[in-house]
Amino acid sequence: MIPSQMLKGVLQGSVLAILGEKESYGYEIVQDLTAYGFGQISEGTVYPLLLRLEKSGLVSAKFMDSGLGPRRKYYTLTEQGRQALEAFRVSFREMTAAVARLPGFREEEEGE
Amino acid sequence: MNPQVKDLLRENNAREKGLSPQAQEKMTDIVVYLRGQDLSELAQEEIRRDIQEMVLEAEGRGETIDQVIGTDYRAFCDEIVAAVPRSSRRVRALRAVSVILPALSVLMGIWTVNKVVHTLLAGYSPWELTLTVGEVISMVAILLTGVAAVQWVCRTSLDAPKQESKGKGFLRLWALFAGVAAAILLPGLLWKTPLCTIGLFKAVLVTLLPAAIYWGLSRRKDL
Repeated sequence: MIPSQMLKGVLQGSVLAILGEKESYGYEIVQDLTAYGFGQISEGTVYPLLLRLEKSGLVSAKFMDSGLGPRRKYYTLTEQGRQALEAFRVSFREMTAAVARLPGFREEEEGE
Repeated sequence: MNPQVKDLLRENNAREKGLSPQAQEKMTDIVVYLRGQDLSELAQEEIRRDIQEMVLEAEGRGETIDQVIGTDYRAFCDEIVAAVPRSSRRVRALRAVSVILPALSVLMGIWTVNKVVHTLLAGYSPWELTLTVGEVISMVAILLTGVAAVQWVCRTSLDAPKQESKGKGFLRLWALFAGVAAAILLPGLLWKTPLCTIGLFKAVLVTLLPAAIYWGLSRRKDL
């Protein structure tokens, strides 16, 4: 299980990555995160994040009928959001590369 | 109220009836908490709509509001408030003014009617009304108490109920009520030093002006 503090740092970028692939809504994003191995995340965790992304212009949102039941709020990545996603990719790769060079994380050490 | 906010409020009130009683209760607490935060009325209603839609869909799947939001409602709401950009100082000041103006209008209306009746009953002409120092202090105390009470209700709406004996709770409430009532009423009754005299038309104007300014302010979307 990923510790919540660690998760907090990467959740925004991860949500942007999911929205980079397709337009989606809260529950579906949560399901996708679970499927990608992020563990059980509630919609209550993701909603404030989506709201922040929406207010900062990284995603746009619109309500659409779900067919059955209530309407769903679909989120789409904006151009600004694509740039933020790219920046997240670069930073995250730098970070994982740095962590991978730390003692105890090097691949050759794992084999020892 | 801004027409867009009014429509959204009406829609949200109707939608809320579709939630389970447990979710409705929690939604009330959430909305009351959000009302006391640095959010415009429009933002409050938009957030309320989003949460309602989220919970409605979850209840359709057989989940409870706790499963959707978690059990720490305050943390959830604080995250939401933090996600919305802070209002400018000017907007926050205007928001505070728009809270006080309708109350001021009502208080001035009550004062004017009360003064006219008493002046007539005393056999004097009601065209000139005397405002006393005590009355001004009472009005300010009523306004401040009202604002403080609303803030207290909003900020504590998501607190767990206190484990306290009924007797102790009643005594605490009674003491608080008596204290506040005394602070509000006594200055007006005891401190009768005249501050100024106001013509009846001016008093009516001072009653209507705050209401008119409030009406103008309430049309804004950012308040």
